[in-house]
Amino acid sequence: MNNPVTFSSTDFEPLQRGDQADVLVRPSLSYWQDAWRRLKRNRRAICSLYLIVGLLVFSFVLPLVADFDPVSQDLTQISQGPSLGRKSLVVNTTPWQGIYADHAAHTGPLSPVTGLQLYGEAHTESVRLAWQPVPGAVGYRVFRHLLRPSGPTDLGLPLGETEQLNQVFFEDRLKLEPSKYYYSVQAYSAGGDVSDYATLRVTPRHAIGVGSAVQRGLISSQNPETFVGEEVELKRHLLGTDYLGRDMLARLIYGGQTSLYIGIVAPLLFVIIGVIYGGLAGYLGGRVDEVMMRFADFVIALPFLLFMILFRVAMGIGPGESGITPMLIALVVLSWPATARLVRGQVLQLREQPFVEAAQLMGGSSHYLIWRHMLPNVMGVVLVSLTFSIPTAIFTEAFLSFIGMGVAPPTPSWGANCNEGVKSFLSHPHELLFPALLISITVLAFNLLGDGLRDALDAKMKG
Amino acid sequence: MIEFILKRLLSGVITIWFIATATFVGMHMVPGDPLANAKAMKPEIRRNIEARYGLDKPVWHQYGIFMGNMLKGDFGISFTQKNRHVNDIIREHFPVSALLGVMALVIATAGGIVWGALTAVYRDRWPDGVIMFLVVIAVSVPSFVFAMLGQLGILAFNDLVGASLLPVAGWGTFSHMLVPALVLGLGTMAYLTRLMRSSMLEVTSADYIRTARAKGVSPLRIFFKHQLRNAILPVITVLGPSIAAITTGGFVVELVFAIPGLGRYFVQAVQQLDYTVIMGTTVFYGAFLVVMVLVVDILYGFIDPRIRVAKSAA
Amino acid sequence: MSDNNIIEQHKAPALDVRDLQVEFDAQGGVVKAVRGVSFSVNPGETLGIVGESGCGKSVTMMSVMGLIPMPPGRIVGGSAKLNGRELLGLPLRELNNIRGAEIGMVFQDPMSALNPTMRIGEQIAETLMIHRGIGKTEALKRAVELLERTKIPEAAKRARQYPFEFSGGMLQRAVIAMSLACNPSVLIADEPTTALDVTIQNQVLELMREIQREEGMAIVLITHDLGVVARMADHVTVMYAGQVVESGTVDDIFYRSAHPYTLGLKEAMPSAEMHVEQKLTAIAGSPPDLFAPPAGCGYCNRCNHALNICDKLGPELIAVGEGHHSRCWLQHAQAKREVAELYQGSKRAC
Repeated sequence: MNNPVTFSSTDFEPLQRGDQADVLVRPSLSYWQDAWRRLKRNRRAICSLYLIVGLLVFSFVLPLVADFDPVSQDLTQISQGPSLGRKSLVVNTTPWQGIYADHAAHTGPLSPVTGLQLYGEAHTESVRLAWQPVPGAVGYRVFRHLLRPSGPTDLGLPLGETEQLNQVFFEDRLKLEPSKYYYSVQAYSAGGDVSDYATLRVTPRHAIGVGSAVQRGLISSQNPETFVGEEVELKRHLLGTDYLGRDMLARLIYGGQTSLYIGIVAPLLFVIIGVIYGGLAGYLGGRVDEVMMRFADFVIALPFLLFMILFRVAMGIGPGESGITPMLIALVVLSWPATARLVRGQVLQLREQPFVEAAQLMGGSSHYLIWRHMLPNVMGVVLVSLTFSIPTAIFTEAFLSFIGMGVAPPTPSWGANCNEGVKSFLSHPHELLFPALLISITVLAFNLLGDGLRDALDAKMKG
Repeated sequence: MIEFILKRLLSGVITIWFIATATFVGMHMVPGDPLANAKAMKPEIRRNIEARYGLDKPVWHQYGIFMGNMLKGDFGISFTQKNRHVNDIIREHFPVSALLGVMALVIATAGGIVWGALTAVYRDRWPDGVIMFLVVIAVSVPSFVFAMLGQLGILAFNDLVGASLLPVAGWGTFSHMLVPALVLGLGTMAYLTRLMRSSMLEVTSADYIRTARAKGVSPLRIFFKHQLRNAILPVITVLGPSIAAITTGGFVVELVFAIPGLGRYFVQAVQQLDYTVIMGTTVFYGAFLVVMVLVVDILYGFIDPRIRVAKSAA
Repeated sequence: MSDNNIIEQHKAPALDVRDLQVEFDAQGGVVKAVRGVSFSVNPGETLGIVGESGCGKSVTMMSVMGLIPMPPGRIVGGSAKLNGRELLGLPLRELNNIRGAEIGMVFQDPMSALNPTMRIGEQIAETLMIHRGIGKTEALKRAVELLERTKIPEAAKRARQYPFEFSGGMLQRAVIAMSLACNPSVLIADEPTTALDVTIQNQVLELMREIQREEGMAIVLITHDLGVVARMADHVTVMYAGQVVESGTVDDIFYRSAHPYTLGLKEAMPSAEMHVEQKLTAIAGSPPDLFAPPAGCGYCNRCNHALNICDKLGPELIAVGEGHHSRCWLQHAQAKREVAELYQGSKRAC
């Protein structure tokens, strides 16, 4: 050996050692402690858990702490976007006397409309327009468009025609909102000739009539006229309002109550039923099991929508009315077989496990067996399937409410909120976006939590 | 194999019978006159229906008439539209739904397989992360939001190209179908992507892949000949439920895109409480889904040799 | 290093592995799974690699074949020469020309080693099509011949069947047929009989021996079953904790074992000649943590003959006899007294 190491004399004496057998030093954890420890390490799952708690607080605790009103309509603020607060100009709502010009006769083609301008300040109570008279014109047509007109056929909403020959003004008071408008004016002759149009971009500011402001208590009723021209603070709508001027935030909070109630209670109920049914089938086994599971297979095949409708009719709820209870019943009655199948499979597997057989041999009563051995081992799978059932139930509520078969106005639910929001999606996307976002976040959180639980509990989701 | 098919057929028939019976029982558990809600019904239609269903006869007799009609494939006459057969409604509107559904299913399956395989190949690298992030989004967003976004997308697209290439709603040409089918298939595609990914990962670590590598098979050939084929099998088993999901999803998409399919008709019937149409379409949909699950099962039997041979030997 | 001089080379070895080191990145550190393993096997001979689960015997062969996943796996050093040609670091394209053609491999569980959705014949033919460049029909015909050769009855019919239609023993024959398709010069068999019944085991082993006699290929037999080694092997390499602890001829190992671990293995093995009163003795304890291999001998903690030095310094391979080496301080010149005791123990075990 060309080993450079030199050995001492004791090196080749037998090794003396104490009684140091391998001791496992890791503390033993119960199944649930271990699962919880693993879940805590899953950042996504824990974030989802916080998110779910947050959503529950949002829907169920927030309305207890502060006053949210989901029904009252704020007609001065319809379909408003989210804002921290909005000011409004107090204005007189008396009609405009207008501007008149001499009518000049003229034959031949009409010259274009010129001098289109605003008269006074444009606000949501009225937009006042005036323009130079066009010789030969017997009247003018006024249009309003949300986009810049691309040509004479694309002038937008026809607001009206002037009524008198010499009238060269127009006052628009039609559902104005504080956003951009393009006004176009066109002259026409007695012969039906149409002139080139003139376009003016107008952005009216939010305004409120004196009477209306007094009514809402925004200004004092003594000498209200003195407030004209002043700004008042409007009621605050953090997330804006819907198409009826109802507060979005309040609608979302109360909508969450409905959605989360259905989304959590229905799965809870059908999972309980499924556990009992599936556990019984698996525990009894044999012929009984076969018959019970056959029945479950048929229930799965039942079309959900029809039975949902049947329950509605049975409870005397017509179309367009709200039906939370029938939806709940239908969900429970038609969804339990999936859980039952899962639990049955688990129980069948467990029955063959040595520890259960051992408990049986030692004379454990069936009561003991079920509570001590079966249930704790089934609970993992059940918990995971419950977590995954919640998003499905929430989707179902949203889907049914969206097609008008679930929760109907005025009762709020996220699905119903979406249904209402769809109508004005293109002009006021926030009315659909907010409830849809809440549904998505809830579903996402439950899905991620379910993933985390499945990994933590190492549950094989096979029936 | 034939015995297997016959067995499945029998259970399918029983399931359809169960659906029809449950429908009948459910409709009769409803208190009062099922026609009472149809306020605007003309007396002639009412007489017509009463005679047809023997509403004056005992329940078991009515059941006999109902089942007889179902067996003959006669779903009755609409409550709200005078003299319009439910059969005609189905015949007219179902092909539209079916075409849309098939397109969505093809998009979903092809997409699911391709994306799922990609995520598995690029496991834990950025393509995997991006695709799985999109998948999580897709399974968390309600279908009607996708439908709305689809419409918005069409508008934006048309704006971009400066011409109305894609119609926002309606039916008729391929351009009408494209976006609705995509929207409809999206949720299922996300689900299948997830499934395909886990299936691929399972296959990747399988012993027979190691065997193939030890044989000197090139990575490309391993991917196509050994991995893909085995990974797709679990995806095929869930095609039955996927068809069901796409069918229900079709209701919303048809509603939003104004597509004259059976789904939209069904939702309308539900909103108008048109009983015969609801019952007829429900039994039809139920039967359709049972048949589709059956078809998928048999198809699977043909594709997976383990089932094919085992069944033919049994 | 010194190993080169020690092993005498009668003929050129078919497979020659020198100082192979393999690591895996794992959560919490690097696992040194293979720590300088050397062995070689000559044409027509069988080398048995023995060791308990996790000792690195499979990883060694997988690394030689380039089959360990990289990352997390990593070949840190050493060489593996097949008929003089270096295998480690070969690009995949060239490696694929060797795999299945010059080296055949048989795996532990035949039930999962074959693609469940491909016919047996096709899977065998695939090898031929890749390496011999022949058409499918021709390859399928050859596959049937190979199945016949591995004594599978009704080979033509069997070739059209799927793996799940085969019994375990039949499947292992099919896997052997597949690995032999291109007449490889080395056959690596990783626990080929572990998953099989004892009677089937014998048939499969017999088949491998027979084919070896006809073809003259080298076999590397990985197993934890000393009985299988005794029947099959010409040379034996005993592995422990990622190292070779003893190597020699089958007689060296069975009659003159010079390492306490080998002795422990033998005592843990039941045999037909055992007396009724004799007890099987398990080796107490478990192998060392390969995240942080001990400074001393890896077996020290479990060894009944351990010396003071064993805990401090890992021993080198020490020549015990011609072609017989042991990685044990007891074989060191200064520890002769202990060796005598060891031999006594060894006689009791056999």
